[in-house]
Amino acid sequence: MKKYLLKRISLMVVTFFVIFFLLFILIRLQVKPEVVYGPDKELEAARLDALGYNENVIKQFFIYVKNCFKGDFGVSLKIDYMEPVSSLMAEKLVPSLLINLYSVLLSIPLGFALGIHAATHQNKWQDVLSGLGIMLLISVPSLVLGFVLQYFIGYKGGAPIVVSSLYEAGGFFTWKMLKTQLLPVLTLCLPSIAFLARNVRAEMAEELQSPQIVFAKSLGVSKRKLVYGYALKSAMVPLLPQLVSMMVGIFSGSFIVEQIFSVPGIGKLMIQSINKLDYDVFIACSMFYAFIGLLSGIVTDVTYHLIDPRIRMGGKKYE
Amino acid sequence: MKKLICALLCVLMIVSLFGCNKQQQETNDTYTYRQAISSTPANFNPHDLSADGAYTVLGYTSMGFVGVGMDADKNFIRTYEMSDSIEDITAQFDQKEKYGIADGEKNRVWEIKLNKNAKWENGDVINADTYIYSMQQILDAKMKNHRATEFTDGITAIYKAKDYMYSGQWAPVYLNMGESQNAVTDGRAYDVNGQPLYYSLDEIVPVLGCSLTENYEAFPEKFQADGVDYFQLLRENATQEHGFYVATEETVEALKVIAGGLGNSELWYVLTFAAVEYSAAWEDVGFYKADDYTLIYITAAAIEKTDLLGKFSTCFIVHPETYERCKTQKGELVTSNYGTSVDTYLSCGPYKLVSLENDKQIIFTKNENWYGYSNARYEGMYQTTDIRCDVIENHESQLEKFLMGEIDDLVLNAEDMKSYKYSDYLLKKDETMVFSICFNTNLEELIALEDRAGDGKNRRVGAYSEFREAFSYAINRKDFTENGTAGSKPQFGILNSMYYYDIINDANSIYRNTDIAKKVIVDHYGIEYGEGKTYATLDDAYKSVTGFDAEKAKALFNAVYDKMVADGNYTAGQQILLTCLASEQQSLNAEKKSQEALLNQYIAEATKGTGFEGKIEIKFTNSPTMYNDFVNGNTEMILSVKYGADMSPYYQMSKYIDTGNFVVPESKAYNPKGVELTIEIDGETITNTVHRWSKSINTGGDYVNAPIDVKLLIMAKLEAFLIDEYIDIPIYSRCQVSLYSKKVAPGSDVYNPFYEFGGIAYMTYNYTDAQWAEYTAKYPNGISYE
Repeated sequence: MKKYLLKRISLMVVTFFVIFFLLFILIRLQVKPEVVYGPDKELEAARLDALGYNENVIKQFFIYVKNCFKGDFGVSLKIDYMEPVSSLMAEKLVPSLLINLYSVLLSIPLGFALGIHAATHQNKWQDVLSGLGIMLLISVPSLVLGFVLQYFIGYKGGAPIVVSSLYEAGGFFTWKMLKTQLLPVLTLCLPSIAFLARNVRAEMAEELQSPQIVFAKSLGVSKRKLVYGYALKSAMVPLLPQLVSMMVGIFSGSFIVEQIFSVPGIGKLMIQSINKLDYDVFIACSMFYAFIGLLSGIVTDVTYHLIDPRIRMGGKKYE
Repeated sequence: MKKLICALLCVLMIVSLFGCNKQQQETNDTYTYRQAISSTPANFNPHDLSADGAYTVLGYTSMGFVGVGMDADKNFIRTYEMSDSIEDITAQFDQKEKYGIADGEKNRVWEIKLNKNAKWENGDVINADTYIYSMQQILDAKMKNHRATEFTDGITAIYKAKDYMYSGQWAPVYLNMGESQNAVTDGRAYDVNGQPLYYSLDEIVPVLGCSLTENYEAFPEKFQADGVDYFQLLRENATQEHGFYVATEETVEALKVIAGGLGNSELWYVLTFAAVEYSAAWEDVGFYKADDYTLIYITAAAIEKTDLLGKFSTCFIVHPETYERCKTQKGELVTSNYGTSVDTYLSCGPYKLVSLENDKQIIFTKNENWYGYSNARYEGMYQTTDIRCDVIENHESQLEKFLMGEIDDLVLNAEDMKSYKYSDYLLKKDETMVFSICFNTNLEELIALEDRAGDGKNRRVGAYSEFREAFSYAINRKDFTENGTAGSKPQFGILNSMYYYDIINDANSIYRNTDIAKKVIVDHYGIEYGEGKTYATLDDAYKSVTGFDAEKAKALFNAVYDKMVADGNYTAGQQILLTCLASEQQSLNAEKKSQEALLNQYIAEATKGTGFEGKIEIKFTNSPTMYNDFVNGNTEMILSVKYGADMSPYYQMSKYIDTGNFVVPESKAYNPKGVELTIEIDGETITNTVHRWSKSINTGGDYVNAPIDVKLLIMAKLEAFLIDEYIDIPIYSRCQVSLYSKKVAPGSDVYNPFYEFGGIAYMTYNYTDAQWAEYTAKYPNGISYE
């Protein structure tokens, strides 16, 4: 296991570095951050020169890497003038993290409850109804869902349609802030609930028809114990890595949801960095997402092993 | 009796107490103005001003030397704000020699008496030292502030400010005609003062109006003689000093040949210059304090007072202690994060920052230390007690918030206009923005685009002027503006009705309303007027212009079809794709989508029965660098927008021509420095490049001080050239329509280019915040504004 883990981490570092290198080179080879004309053009050129933008791009890369080791990921030139990218991202991470966390905390129990209920009522009206709801929520893009919820629950229902500012809410963990986070959290968690419910139902339905469950049932084991003691436990093997992946994913923002509900999060930051050609911010955000993606892959694989040690990782193939 | 008096006194006291309480109640009322903004500014440092939205903060929290306002009849007036008076004292100034002022010169030395009541929000005084410190920071070479150009170049340039800022660097000073007593000795050329001469291939040569390189690209034959390319000879000269080429004996011979090609070889020296080193101490700069509350501002060149006051409406002072605290060194650049948060900024205006949450919200409240609140002149103004700006990017969210009573104004889009066009709460604002279509006419680039796409679709039509003309006639601009925009107007010329050529002396001096400008449009569309013609007068003819002629468009499409087939540039039945860059935003909005559909509809209708029937597709797309993309030949067409400079139509016109200072999409269809235009001025026929004509009516140009009639004539000729050649196809002129909430009442419901609708200063309220909350609670499904 240790050997496998080391191998995966090494691979992750190499992959991360390759992505980093390519991203940096491609971005820095693009047009300079500012396109202005007239007397300002000369001033801006001088500014960029002073900031090292006119160095050889490979040299720029190594300077950047060296700075990264010192915790300097560059500065924003457009979004938050001369603000270090690290502090900008840290500031934006919290709002994203919170709505993602609330969404995960809501979607796991609800998704499981709905999935188990559907599995234990297979082919009955409850199963058909929940199946329809699940299909609907999985099919509807979050952009549409966001606007629908904003209109019906927000505008017509009286719920706040955008997330409150910290100043007005009095902090991240106040009732007012929580209330205004309702709609983005719902937009994020409804598809997750549907996704989980579908998977839980499928796994549970299979388990409930397995020979061991049928045998246990014939021995008179209670339905409750059958479902939660045996079937759910077995079904958790393929489900748990998905949950772990969801937990890791809470660090990532949601481009669309943050845009609709005015959440000043990391997803919106990345979109802004693209629109405003704020290159250092874009590079840092992209690398952050690349890191989360790679980490999520490793954690999922390792979780498989932890749940069921029979699943071997990185072992030699048996002849 | 005593008891009675006591009782009366008691009653009086009680009544007074109630009165006081009522008074207290009134003063505690709050009036919050709430608006939606698209983003918070990256900074609002008055020395930068390059960030989007910086004026949102600076507009509420700072004041310039002068401001704009309106009188009781809603006429525009200029008011003294951070200054008490600004007067020209050139005549009595006693240091003329030091500041390069000639005897008899006027409008160079300005005495600015400062407002002694002006303070920072924390109570710190604002005096002449504050201004001196701020100007020194703006002109600090290490900081490279964007705002510096306002004081080193242009009409408000301060005497020797540029020399101070660029001390140690070298600049060219071109020789004028008549300075011919120069010599070539020891292999080098010198001017009459014995200064060595240089030349540059990239600097703009005043007599040419462009650089030698640009001139060579436009007219290579003028640089050649006896089979020798003298431009190459100049380029290969390796001798350089101070970043310029040294004019040696050999290169002087080459310059003579080039000058000969341009008209007179004896004038070779006008292509050369002496190099001077920028050098000035702060004491030499024309900006100093006469006393604690008096500043002396000496301009580099004479400037009319009205022009100067117009430029003095934006504040440039910074709070010295805070500014110093915010300085950091990044590479070789000294930067300041002044004006990036509540802690790094101090207000000197009517409101101060309370909270700034990046990308989320800005909150302002009254700055009790602002001089205006204790000045009778401002009575009845600034009723707003707090301002809340929320970042809400989605229009739908903004609309819902507005109808819920949570924001106080809303810019409408085309879709909204269907519901609110008859609302009593509409504000219509004509803008300077003109949207026009430009085609990439470079056949080679268009073929390269086809090759890159590899989809077999034709992209070459833009190269044919007949196609561009047909396209222009096919567009029903009236229908387009009604169904594809929120209240915008059809546009036929380069400039719309928002450009004033002499607003200071004549408030109605709108270029578009002049006969000469109207004639450009009428002539372009071939409309005849006069006795025995369809239209009796020029005005009647001008009013009849629609720009739409489906039959003419059809005939032109037929003609260009035949021509393209004959040229081998189109195969019968081939699909045509025209990708049009239409937005710098991250995606196309609903308005742009509907405009795309409308253009396709017009072209489809106009091509019916022609070889192009059903073959042309226009596809809108977006790019944050759309203008550069177009100029670099990466697309077939662009929906370009130009705006600003409403007080200077001449400058605005240069945005269509001056490739040295702007990205000019129109330059894909012609070379401004290579196309000549002949204009008859005062009986004299003069030929110049389009670029030089444009330069001639702007700062430093030959006709900048010419009578207005002459300048308007040049303007009109340039405009006619651009539209007659279908280099630029104007489509619509934007009119911004917005709704204001029932809570507020704007100072004026008629737009004025200076004070707009009166702004926050003149806004009044129909409800206090508490009353408004009660009112909105009665309408849970939204307040009606239809």
